[in-house]
Amino acid sequence: MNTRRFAFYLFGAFAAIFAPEAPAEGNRIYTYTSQGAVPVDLNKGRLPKNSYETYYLESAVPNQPTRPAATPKPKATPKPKPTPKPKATPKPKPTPKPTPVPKPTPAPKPTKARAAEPPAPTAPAPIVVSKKSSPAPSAPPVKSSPKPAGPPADALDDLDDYGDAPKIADPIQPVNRGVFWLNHQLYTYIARPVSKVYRTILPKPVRTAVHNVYDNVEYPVRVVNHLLQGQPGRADLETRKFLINSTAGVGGILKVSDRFPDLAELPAADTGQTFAKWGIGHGPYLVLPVIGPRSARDTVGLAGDVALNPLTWVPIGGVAQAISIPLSTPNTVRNVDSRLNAYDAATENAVDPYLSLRGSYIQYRDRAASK
Amino acid sequence: MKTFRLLLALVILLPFGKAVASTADAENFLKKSVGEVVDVAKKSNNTETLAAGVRPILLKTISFDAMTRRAVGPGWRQFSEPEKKEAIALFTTLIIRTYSSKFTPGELPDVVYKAATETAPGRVEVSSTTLYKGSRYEVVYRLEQPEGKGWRVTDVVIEGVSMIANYRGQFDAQFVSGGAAAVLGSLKKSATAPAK
Repeated sequence: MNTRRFAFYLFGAFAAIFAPEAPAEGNRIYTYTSQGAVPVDLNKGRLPKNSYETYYLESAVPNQPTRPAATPKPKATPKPKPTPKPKATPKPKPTPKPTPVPKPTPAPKPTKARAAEPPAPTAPAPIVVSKKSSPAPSAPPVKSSPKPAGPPADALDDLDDYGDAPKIADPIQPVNRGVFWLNHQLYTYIARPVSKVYRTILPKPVRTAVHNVYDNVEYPVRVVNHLLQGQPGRADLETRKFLINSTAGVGGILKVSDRFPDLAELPAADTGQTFAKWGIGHGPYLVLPVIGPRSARDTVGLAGDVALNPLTWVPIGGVAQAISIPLSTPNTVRNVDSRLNAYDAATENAVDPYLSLRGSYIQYRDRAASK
Repeated sequence: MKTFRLLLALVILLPFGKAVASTADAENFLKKSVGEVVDVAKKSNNTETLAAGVRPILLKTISFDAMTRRAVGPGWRQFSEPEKKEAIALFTTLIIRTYSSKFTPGELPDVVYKAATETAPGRVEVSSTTLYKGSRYEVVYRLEQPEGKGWRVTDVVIEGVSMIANYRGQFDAQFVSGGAAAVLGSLKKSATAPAK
């Protein structure tokens, strides 16, 4: 009998030690839903498994939430009749026009430089950290749910990790927007007519030949950068490509190398890309007059590309200048033409052409660096 | 013993076989849809007929619901139901216009598909190289099965530029400045603007 009683007490002691602790009042866990901040039902003191919701300590949830319908919904108690949800805005039924939703309260007033970043859910710091959420110093993580490839903390569904907005610092956005506007005028009133004339005068095969010749001449830019990136194999392929196109392709007019898959799919290399491979970040975003979007890193890289381009090796001044101008003019025109295509692809059908071009540029360069 | 081994091998290979089958299904679905679009481009004389012919194909190929939701991002939670419906309708128009504007009637792309890969359960990526108007583009189609409705394209990545990520960057800024109303306003403006 005594043994059974002892075993009973022992079990009781273990249960008391290891039983999940109920969250103390004022230390509840909240998550944000369309109804605003909602307390989370803890299962034996644990957060829901495989969840990518972002959770907040009660102390971190502001009294005045920024969500339009943020009144915490009363939970659990069975209601005979669901009370109408308290809405911040009265919705006129018949009009198809969107109801004027109030501005998100400017509590965490986002600066203009943060415009491209996803809006912060609300002021509090997340306590459940998923793959892409940033660590918050104010509220230490109490539990993390690591997953090799998961969506960001503010994901809308389990597979929502495609939509990460491309990020780059844009501290001089007002200036950049000014230059962007100026470039738009230049493209519209100067570059587009020049491109139109170029396309009218030269038939497509001739334009392709011009493009191929100048592309072939820029071989040193690519080969040097392949080597600087520690890719001797690619440098070797680049050299073969140059030799094939220069000989069989009649000085680069024909791109014979496209018949060989290894050469056709050889990624290009430039100095900005090399800096990226060395671990140098983008730096601030810049819109350069005429040239267009660049990061600070790629602007420095551009100087390297110019120095490695044989077309710039012709010394300026005297007779040499007379050679230099006719040599580089077709290249400038073809660059204008291809730049316009890229510009149109990024800005047509955009909601904000400036942000669309910035996002396209960053994604394009990030991919080039990852190749 | 032999039967047992055979059964064991089957049990081990069954999930793998299922994954291969689903990847192939997604790939075939995409190839069929792209083929249909190319057929329309072949028959169209101008941009208007091309856009009109491509619309029904894209409606059954792309999950505009998932695309809009993810393009808007976290702000989507604050959209009311009518606002969500309006946003999806406007974004659908915008995407169809963007996609059809890439084609010139009469000029046909030469698409070479690479092997499809399952990047996560229920998610397949099909890479392709498209030779169009003398230029070579790398296009990646991302497919999923939203709500078990069969395969649908949820994102298109051209030369590393994701359509969803690019629009999210723009919608974020709109949402921060004026909430759902600002997003809808800008969407309306872009979707109704005359095509260039």
